Amino acid sequence: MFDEFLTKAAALRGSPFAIAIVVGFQAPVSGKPGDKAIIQADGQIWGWIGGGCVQPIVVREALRAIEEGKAKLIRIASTRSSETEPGVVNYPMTCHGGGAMEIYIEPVLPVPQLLVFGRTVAARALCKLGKAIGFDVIVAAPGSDRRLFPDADRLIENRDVHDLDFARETYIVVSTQGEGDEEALEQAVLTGVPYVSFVASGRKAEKVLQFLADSGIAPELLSRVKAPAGLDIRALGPEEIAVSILAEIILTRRSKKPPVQSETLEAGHARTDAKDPVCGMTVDSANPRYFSEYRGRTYYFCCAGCKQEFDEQPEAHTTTLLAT
Amino acid sequence: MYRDIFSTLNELSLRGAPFAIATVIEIEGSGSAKPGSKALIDGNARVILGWVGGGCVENMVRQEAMESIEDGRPRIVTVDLTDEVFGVGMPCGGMMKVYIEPVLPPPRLVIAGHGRIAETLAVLGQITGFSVTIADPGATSEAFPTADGLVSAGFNSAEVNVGPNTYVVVATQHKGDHLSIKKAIEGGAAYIALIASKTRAQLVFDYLAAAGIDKSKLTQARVRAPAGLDIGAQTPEEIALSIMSEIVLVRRGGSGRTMLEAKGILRRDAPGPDRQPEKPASEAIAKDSKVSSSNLG
Repeated sequence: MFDEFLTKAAALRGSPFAIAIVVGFQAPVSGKPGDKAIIQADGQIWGWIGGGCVQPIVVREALRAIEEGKAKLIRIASTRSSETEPGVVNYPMTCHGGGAMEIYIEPVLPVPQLLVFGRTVAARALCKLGKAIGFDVIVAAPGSDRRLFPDADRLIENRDVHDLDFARETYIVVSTQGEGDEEALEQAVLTGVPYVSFVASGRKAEKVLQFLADSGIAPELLSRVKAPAGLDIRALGPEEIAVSILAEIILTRRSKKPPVQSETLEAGHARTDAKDPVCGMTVDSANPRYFSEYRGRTYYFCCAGCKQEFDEQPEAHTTTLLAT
Repeated sequence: MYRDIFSTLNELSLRGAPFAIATVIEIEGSGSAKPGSKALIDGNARVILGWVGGGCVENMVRQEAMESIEDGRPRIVTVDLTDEVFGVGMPCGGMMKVYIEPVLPPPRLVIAGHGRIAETLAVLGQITGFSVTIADPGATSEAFPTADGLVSAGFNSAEVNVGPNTYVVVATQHKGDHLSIKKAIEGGAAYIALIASKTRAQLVFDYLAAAGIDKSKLTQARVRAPAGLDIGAQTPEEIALSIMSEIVLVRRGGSGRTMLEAKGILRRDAPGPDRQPEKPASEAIAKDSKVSSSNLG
């Protein structure tokens, strides 16, 4: 199981997912410590994390974890703790059997890509520093070689970057300083990547941007180019300039929207969330196993027991539902 | 002549002593020096090698050399040789320009502690030109392959010296950190950062106040806690980068905002980062430069 799990996780490298592991339980529940699952950003679940009682909760919290980039512990218990602990999300255990589970959820987000155009000293410093903070670094520059960029993950010896995966979180810095500025900046903005910065003085940047505007590049692509690049820390020399640019990249990274599309997230919620009218549990309405029609509405249940109880006295449960 | 200059340069630089190189770059009229004439001036304003002119020029060049060693900036000095103020009784005539460049020992980054933040910071510091020392019993050369020095006796041992050219980051998360911060303050470090929870940082400040450290030295400008620029850093690598950015800012100046904001450039449709306006870092910098100049002066 564990091998398989790791293989599956390794195969997903490059796309965001979350892992969920049962770390504590109180019988009777179906999940046992060590049970684990992988939840992808589209809500697909792989593995085993307990039954219908917990699965929708896990998927929802996993998608949130991917969105927030933060690990968390979820506790599903019949006795709800009145204390709130940081990093712990409490849910009521609504399965009839009772019991409790603790599930640790951790997002595994792909390493961001840093694409550097140019082979200047600043480009080299960016490559080194980008690697030091754990980014995948790709350098695109005609005339570049391994000697200049010994630690780049990928070296493209021209400006052709069309086969890179720009669906991944990517940041682009154009540091050409006279060697094909216009061509490189054009390639950079045409990728559609939100962060593109141009290492140049304000005046030089305006000239190059104007040239690209005149040659028909859409203004909304050009207006987001950050030039001068970086934070105002009066950086002196290529290494400090690289520090200031990476700081701006982190600032952008941490103030922007998550890699998961919010529509995906919304769809995920709508698809999985329905309330069992008997026990109040969250059930997956897209993939129903127990449901009943009553007065033109469909009700979903977590188990045969709830369905049976509902079918015997539907009014009792629909009233309760309306009252809550 | 060149050979002498370069071997002396090398020797001085290895010794870690600050000095300045003065080079005559332009001359008009009668001067005893020629373009390319050089002199090395040490931290005590002594000409230790070379020649850029006699009495008319030398005093001025020595004085400017001292200033460039102090502020770390190169400069071009124009000496008006007809000016009697700098003369030795009679005007020499003419004009000369001298380029003066300070050669300072690399700043030291001393990291107390080990772990991912410390490891990344050590690499960032090395790339950015710092001499990096890790002072921690748990630090190994495997974890810090690029460090210039490892002091296993820890930051508070006599093996670690703190001076105005030292940048200190305390990331120990243990009970010795209050002593480390005290040592850094007393040594007049250029930058002091404490990586600790709010609660822990408060305990450290309480201790320092009780230990008689002047209140003016317990400001955020003096002891950075939380440490690093506010760029929303989350991972240890990002935290290390935010600290490195702050070190550059303290060393060089700047507002800490984006260049676009700082320069007031707003392009049409530009989606600015969604963040609160940065607390003005200029105040902090003013304080820091006062501290460092009084240390140098």
